[in-house]
Amino acid sequence: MERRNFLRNIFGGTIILWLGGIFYFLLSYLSYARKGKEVFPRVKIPSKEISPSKPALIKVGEEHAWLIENEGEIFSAISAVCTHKRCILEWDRESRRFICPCHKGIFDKEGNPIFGPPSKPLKRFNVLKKGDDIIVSD
Amino acid sequence: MSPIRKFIKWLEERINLTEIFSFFSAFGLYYGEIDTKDSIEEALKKASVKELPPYGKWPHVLGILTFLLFVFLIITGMLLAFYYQPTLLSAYESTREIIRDISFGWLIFNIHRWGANLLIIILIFRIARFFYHKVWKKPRELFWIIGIAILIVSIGSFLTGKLLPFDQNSYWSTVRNLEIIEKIPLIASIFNFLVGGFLIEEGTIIRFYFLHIVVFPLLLWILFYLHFSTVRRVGLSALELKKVERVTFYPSHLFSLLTSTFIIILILVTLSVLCPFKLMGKADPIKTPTETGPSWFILFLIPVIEHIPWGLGGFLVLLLLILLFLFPFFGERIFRSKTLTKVLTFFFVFLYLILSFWGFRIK
Amino acid sequence: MSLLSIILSISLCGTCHPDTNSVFQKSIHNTEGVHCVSCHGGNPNTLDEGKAHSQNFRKIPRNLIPQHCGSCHSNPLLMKPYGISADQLSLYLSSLHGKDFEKSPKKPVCTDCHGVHEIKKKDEPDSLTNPSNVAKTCGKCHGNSLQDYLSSYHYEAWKEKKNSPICVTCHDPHLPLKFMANDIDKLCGRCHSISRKSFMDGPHGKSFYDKGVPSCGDCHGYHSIKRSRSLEISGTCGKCHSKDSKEFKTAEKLSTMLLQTKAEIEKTEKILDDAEKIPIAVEDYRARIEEAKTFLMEALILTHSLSIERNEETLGKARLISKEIEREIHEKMRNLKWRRFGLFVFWFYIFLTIFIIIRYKRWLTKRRSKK
Repeated sequence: MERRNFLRNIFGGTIILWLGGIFYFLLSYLSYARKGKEVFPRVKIPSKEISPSKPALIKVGEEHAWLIENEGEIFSAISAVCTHKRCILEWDRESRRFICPCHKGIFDKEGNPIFGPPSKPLKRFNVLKKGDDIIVSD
Repeated sequence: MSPIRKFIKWLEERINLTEIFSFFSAFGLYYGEIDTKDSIEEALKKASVKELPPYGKWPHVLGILTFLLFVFLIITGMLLAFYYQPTLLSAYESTREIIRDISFGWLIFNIHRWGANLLIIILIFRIARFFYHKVWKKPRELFWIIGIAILIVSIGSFLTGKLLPFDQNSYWSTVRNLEIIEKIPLIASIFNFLVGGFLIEEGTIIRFYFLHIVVFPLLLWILFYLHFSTVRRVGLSALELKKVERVTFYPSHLFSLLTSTFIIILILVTLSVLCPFKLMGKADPIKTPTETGPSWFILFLIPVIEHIPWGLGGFLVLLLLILLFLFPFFGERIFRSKTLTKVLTFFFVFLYLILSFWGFRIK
Repeated sequence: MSLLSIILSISLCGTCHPDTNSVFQKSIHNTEGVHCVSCHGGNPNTLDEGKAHSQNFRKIPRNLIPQHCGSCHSNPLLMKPYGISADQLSLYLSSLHGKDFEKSPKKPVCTDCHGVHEIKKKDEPDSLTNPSNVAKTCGKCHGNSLQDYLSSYHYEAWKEKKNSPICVTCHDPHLPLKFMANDIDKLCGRCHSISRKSFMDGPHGKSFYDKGVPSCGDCHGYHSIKRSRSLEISGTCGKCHSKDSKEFKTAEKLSTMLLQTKAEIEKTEKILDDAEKIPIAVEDYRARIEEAKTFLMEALILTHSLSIERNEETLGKARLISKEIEREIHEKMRNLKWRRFGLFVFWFYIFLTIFIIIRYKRWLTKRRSKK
């Protein structure tokens, strides 16, 4: 009796150890998170492609952003991802505001939410004017 | 009654469990016939006391090894498919990510590749063994034919999978392989239809991928099922000279299955750690590296195709293939003597090795 | 002149002057229809020396060469179809080359740089004004500057077909200025604009505009510009600042920061080379180290503003990338080492499992046979 239980337990224990090992192995294999490869994402746009009436939707690293020229040749780069449910914002030229097509949330030209479901402001990127180019970085 | 028993009884009223058991055991778990009209308890009882020749022993163990290798290839293949991207742009980068960055990715990749190589080796070995022991005699003709079919489909799977990492080695050995296949008449037409040409371009890689992960594995599942089905009907080939002991399904048979599984895992992991496959840099269609050539088991075709004039080499290969398939139907008349068969086996193996070596020299 | 006599005139002058003629045949003047008579006068239609050298035949003396060439080359109506400017003579006469050139035999005239009968277009490889030959042409008189230039990085880059200056890029060929000290930064800034901007933002720029020192050449040299010479502080910064001054300490700090970052990047590159031998595929890491090198290059240029904060910001990014790559590659190499050990443990574990299975099976079979 002793021997049967002992051997059976050992056998069962081995099988459980194997199953546990396989489970750990599968877990670590499948849960590889792809790290953002670009440490300092930055993008360069020639300034003649932007005008006060023609902003550009650019991509800084993995994130979309609006690059807008304001009066006095001041450029601003604001994230185009709505802070409510991550839809991409549209830029309304007349009222100079961002409007979200999903739930009609509105942000002002600085990125602050002024109407609708979003409550968090939009992320702003660094803008540097270098010669004829504009460099936007995170 | 214990809760497990209660649960099984509840299931049995709603579904034929014996049929499900029979389906699973069709893949080598238990190779006697199962009467699906019995209840599951009766079927299991009968199965566990029926005595059959074991196939955990040599030489039948080759068969179960093949299937186990196939299962490992399926599992590792599925795991690889989580990360691999079959486009021209990212095939190499995703493979490199698997091998270099993902934890245990190198292990899965190498097990997959070594498993594929071992599968082909064991299949060739099995065919030689079948010939030696005259396993093609009645009533085992189907067994032989399906065995050859399994070998051909496995080779197809190997060749399609070879391209997928898309490094220099993959790309150029696939180019050479395609160059050889193009010369064999019927196979070339089938291939042309399936893949759309003999040049490696945008659509080729995705077609190879589809063939490799859906079409050929499905074919192989079906062929394995049929193969085991034959064995269940006609039984294992008894080897006359040996006195074969008969064992029961539980515990002998099941445990020898378990042991074989562990031994295969051991061999695969050892090979993966000690002899890993190295990536040779991204495929460059302009620059051919010096050391690559066709896959090793195709080398023997090169001297046949090159040195027989007027393009007859390809026809000869096709003829050989058809003869191989239909062999059981005329083999009985030709190979009566046992000694002749044994001598011929060695002769064919020797010929294969010589031709392969020759192919290696002139590749 | 009739076509016939034009043809005849070439061949006839050349009969007595074959060497000159063969050289002249290949020149641009010949191609465009300017022949012996146009400059020398005389009669081209006769072989008799007396008659040929009659009429208004002349050998042009050295002190009349500029005027002589200028008789066509200062005429805008003549030069316009060819796209050649007509201001060379006036520029030349107001330049150091041309001012009172009659009195000084050392000063060059047109033919010294362009040749006499062998004048060719600039884009022909054996023309004296072809960019590859310009340095040699100027160097005929300016030997010292030529030696300095040949040892410089500008010349090295020029040899590798990079976008690099030759003599005439900075010094206009017909009005070659010896640049005044406070105009040097504009000259260098034509190409090195960001360096000039950083320079103007910093204390050196202020000092340059107030007092005229330091100019680009004071630290970098004029013709013998070398790479990274500015990192040899005692030779460069020490020329004006004493070794225990605050400015010298800043220079030391900046130099240390740059050299450290450069060393770190080189160390990471060596690690990548080692990893490649194992082999581990590292192409994407090499692209990232290029990004770090770009930051380093940016910092080198920003150094002109002499601001430690600005340099630290850019160099910090370069170092971050470098460290991250190092960490990741080391992790992978460590994992490789663990594999063999893991294999060992795995063998042991599998044999143990198989042993247990066999014992259990035997025990079960014995139990069954007893039943």
